Amino acid sequence: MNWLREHKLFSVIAGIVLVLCLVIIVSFLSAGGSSFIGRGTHKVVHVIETPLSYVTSGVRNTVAGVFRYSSLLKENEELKEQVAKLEQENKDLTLSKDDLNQLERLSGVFKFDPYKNKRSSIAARITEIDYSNPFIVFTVDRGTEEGIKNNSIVVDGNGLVGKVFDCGKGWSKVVSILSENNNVSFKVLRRTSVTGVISANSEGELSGYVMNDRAKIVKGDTLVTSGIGVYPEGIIVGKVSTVDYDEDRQLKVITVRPSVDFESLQKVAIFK
Amino acid sequence: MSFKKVTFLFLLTFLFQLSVVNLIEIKNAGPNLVMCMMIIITFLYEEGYRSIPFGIFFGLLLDICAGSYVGPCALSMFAVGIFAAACHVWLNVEKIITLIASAIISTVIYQVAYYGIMKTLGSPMGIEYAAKMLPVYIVYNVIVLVIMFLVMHKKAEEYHNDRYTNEEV
Repeated sequence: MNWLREHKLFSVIAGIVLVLCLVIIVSFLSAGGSSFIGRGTHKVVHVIETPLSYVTSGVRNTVAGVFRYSSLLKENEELKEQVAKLEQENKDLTLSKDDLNQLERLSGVFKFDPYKNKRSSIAARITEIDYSNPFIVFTVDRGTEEGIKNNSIVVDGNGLVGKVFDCGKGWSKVVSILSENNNVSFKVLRRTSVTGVISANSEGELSGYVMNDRAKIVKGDTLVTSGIGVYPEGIIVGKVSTVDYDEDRQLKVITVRPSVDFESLQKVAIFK
Repeated sequence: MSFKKVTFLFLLTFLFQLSVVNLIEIKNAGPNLVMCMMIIITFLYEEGYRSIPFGIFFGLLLDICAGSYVGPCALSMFAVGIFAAACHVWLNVEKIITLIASAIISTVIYQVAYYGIMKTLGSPMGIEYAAKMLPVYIVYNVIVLVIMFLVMHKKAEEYHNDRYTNEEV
């Protein structure tokens, strides 16, 4: 005790470091989940941050719109063409009302519910994100009151964003696929028999391997989730950017560029 | 500087950190306003080291609101706080060149500490990627610190003058 009194400054620093290390260990053991103190704090901060984030995203969109006017016009034309094409495809694919009724009656005979596994989604806005470190973790303005729970899947218009790892009333914390430690099981959209596993790599992209080393996978192939594990089937993950053969592991290894542009992410959809 | 003023300034930077920085981020990187506020108060005020607990507290809040785990930001902030307090004792921190050098070293300390903790906790991010992002954080933090210095330096001088005047009286 005397030694601690004599070395007061050292003792204080060591004490603070020790307490913070304990906080980190506890947080790690609870997989980043908040305690009731954390949830309460989050709730208060969220109330203040939400209107502020609405204002800043509004300003950001307006400023970006002014600078990107010509490119937006071009994009608009392209989207119009795309919509026309999709409308045509939609017409070709849509079942007639009679056909649909017949199929629904038929499904009743077999006691088959076609919507049993259908997940409903909810739109959410990013309210809090910290850009002072390279890890992409953010909070959105929807939470448990909407049925969101841990491991709910988060997507945007381009594909898979990540998953919810902590949530409360009015907020959910999301970790992106680029910052989480888990693997994502995938299949190739063009050839669904080709499957594999990818995870975040050290260069801020995704990398992994294909199950069958003779499988045909090429640069530019689109990957979607296979349905094995946390992520449901069919969500676009990204495009293959490199394909190599690792002779040591005798595996075909790939690098994938995520389809989601994490820089301009402002709104997401969450599958409950 | 009074407790109320420090609390208000940290609260403001904390709220801006999670939302307003969104307007100026490039490649998912932006300044660390809370860290810059802690450094500048430590540098400019006589008992500026008292801002370190604020840095730790608001670091914990940042972890709670936008971090994978609670604690890494607070611990990194503490490391930077100790460095800033040491600079205050050993260097002439009111020179702009010292401020810039300190901002660079502080950003490196913060990022290395944060990355080290996250890597220990199993993050897949590689050192190359973190190193690639480092110059962006340095540039941002240097700019923010210089702006804060220019705004707050005069106020701090007034504070010093008032104090000496009172002592003479």
